[in-house]
Amino acid sequence: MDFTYSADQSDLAALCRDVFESEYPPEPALAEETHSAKLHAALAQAGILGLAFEESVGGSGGSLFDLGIAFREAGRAPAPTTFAGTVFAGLLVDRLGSAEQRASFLAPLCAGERLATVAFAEPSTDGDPSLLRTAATRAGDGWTLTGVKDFVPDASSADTIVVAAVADTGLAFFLVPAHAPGVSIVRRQTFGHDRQDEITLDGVSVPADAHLAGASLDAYLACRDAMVALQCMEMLGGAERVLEMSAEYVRTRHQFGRPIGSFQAVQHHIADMAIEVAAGAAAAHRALWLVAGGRPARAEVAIAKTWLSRAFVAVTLHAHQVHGGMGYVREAPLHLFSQRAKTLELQLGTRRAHLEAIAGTLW
Amino acid sequence: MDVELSARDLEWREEVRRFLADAVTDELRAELAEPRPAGRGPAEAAFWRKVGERGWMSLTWPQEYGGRNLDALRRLILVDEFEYAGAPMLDMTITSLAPVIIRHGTPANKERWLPGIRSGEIRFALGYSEPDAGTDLAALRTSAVLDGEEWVVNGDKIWNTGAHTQTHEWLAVRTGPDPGHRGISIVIVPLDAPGVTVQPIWTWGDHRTNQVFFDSVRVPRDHLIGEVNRGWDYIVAALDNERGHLGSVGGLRRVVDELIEAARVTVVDGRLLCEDPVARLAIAELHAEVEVARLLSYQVASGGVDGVVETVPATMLKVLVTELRAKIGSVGMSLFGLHGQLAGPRAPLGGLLEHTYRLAPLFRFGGGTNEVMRDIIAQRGHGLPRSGRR
Ligand SMILES: Cc1cc2nc3c(=O)[nH]c(=O)nc-3n(C[C@H](O)[C@H](O)[C@H](O)COP(=O)(O)OP(=O)(O)OC[C@H]3O[C@@H](n4cnc5c(N)ncnc54)[C@H](O)[C@@H]3O)c2cc1C
Repeated sequence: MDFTYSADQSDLAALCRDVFESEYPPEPALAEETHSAKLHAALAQAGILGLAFEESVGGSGGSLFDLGIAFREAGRAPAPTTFAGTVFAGLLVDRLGSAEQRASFLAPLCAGERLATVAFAEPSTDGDPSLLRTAATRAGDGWTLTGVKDFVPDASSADTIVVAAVADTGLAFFLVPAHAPGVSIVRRQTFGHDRQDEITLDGVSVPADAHLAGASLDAYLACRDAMVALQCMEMLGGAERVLEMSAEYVRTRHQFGRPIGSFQAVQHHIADMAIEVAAGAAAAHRALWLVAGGRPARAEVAIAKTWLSRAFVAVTLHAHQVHGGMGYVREAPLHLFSQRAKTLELQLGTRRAHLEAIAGTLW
Repeated sequence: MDVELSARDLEWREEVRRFLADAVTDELRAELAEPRPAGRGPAEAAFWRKVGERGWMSLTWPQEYGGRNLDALRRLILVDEFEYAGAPMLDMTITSLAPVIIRHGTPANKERWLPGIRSGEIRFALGYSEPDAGTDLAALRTSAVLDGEEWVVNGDKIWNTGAHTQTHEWLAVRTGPDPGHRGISIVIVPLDAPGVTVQPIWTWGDHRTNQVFFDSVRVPRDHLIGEVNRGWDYIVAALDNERGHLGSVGGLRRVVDELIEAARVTVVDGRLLCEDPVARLAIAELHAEVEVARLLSYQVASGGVDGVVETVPATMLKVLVTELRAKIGSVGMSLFGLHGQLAGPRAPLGGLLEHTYRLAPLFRFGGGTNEVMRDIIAQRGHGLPRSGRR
């Protein structure tokens, strides 16, 4: 057993950190932008967008584990949401698509020329495939899609939306151009000021080759486990950054003639944050390692998500407490993490949904 | 022992409720929901006129000053109901600063400030915190130096929330050579005086607060409250007046009541929240905790003497209620799944939950940080030795 990174993995982490830090300094004003073209181009240039994809489809031929390392660094930034959204869409196409679909979709994605997103949730469900209502019906050689998708990250900046729908074969996925006739996109007003959209599909026609023919419920769920494991790495990175910012702040802020970090009450906040983060690192890396190895990991992923979603939120609350007024102003970056923590808790399965998944493996 | 409100207290609550039902209009709610760059909006001004017509501006003052000398429990009932109705909070100029002037001010102070406070024309912003004086308030450096018949004020205040809506500063300044508590006084500085600069600071909770700079601002000598270098006593006295309110649960009761109603009609992942075993119990727990917090607030307030409640019980209440706020915001948002992250009118509870969540940190570190509150509970309440602070 070894929970440390290899030299290559450490180098990759350093590379990713350098790209995020130099191309995307943590200015709250910047972070209100949900996409950074400059950062995205740099991520492509450094091979980070294509980390988990084969070289034959334009990727860098790394592994899902490497991608997880990048997500941890993205969480520190905190990176614009188009990074995760685009990579998640790529993962679905890579796993569920034909060779041709993979090549034509992933090559521009890895090159940074394609922004994509996944549309799964609907008014009737946040994530339960059995409650999806969006219908895909055959029309000649192609398909017609009708329904409403909700909470789709960055649909308006994406060129392609990977839409989950119910077809005669069961759960199905389609590549839908964001500007196709019949697609209308309305921005949701979110507490995180991120971009999440409600999409109405009003008889949208797509050709036969828009259908990801390899889709099945099991294949989707395995892919979703990979996304959740990556999301856990993102939460881990965010929580680590907040812990570091807090430790730094209490070292430098003085009250009563000494650093506030010398007060035991403040030290205990830092210690509790550190415990959350250390345990979270173990849980997230186990989940990531298993899914990267192609191993079934439903329970391990769910355990990681339940821990990290609680831990990241808790870490931000501790951080507000030790920062006092200075952490509460819009100019300070802390609230960006506070928002992201709560948002990530709710995306890709709430704690409740993941606890149910864990319970399902027990009885 | 009697664990219920008396007939007299219930009558008072009804009186307050009747007033609020009429005075808190939809226009007022809409106006208060918008962060305001400056001043009071027209609906809020109308609200305060009604408060004034009712004679409630001096509600908590002694009878000889035209007040009703409300006891701590009835003050709590008042604040609870104001919070529950979403009304603007009673100005602390009225509830906590004016009583200090009444008790400690010079005859000239009383004559100069009380009539204007009662009419609402004079409203103080609380000018205590400085960049280097937060929890360690006694480290404040803003100074006032007597020059003939005038005080000359220089310095820098931060988190000065009322500076853009109020008329004057209730300003804590250093007037004596002694460091720490002893050299502090309170002077009143008009916010439109030459040399005062107000710079906005926006917070995560959508509050506007301010940094305020005082550059050789001159005010008449008699703007000093009470005696020179006794300011720390007045700060503590004002805080004591405020204590009973700090742990009011009216706002949280409102959030949980709305959550209970929303659970009747909200379907998440195919399940009605009130029929979902997990959501039911989570909301039931929040309900129980708010109920216990309210009982503690009654227990604390009903033990008050002369309208002033004891420090340690009130401090426990502050910690309990502010930690509960963070929990209600967080648990509440999570119950709604993806919809929990919405803001604005389409959000669960019209955005009340997410706003509760964003406000939670401020309540935990503001009004005396919960760390320092816990020190007070352990040290003054249970005789433990002091550590850390001077
Ligand atoms: C929106 C907003 C509105 C405000 N409005 C006003 C206002 O109108 N007027 C006004 O005067 N002030 C106002 N404040 C200031 C508020 O009262 C302070 O933020 C509060 O007193 C804490 O001070 P600080 O922010 O400097 O934190 P700090 O004092 O720096 O505290 C940071 C951390 O250190 C801890 N700490 C410090 N000393 C100790 C100790 N001895 N032992 C253990 N832990 C310790 C604290 O508990 C906290 O966790 C406002 C603040 C905000 C954010």
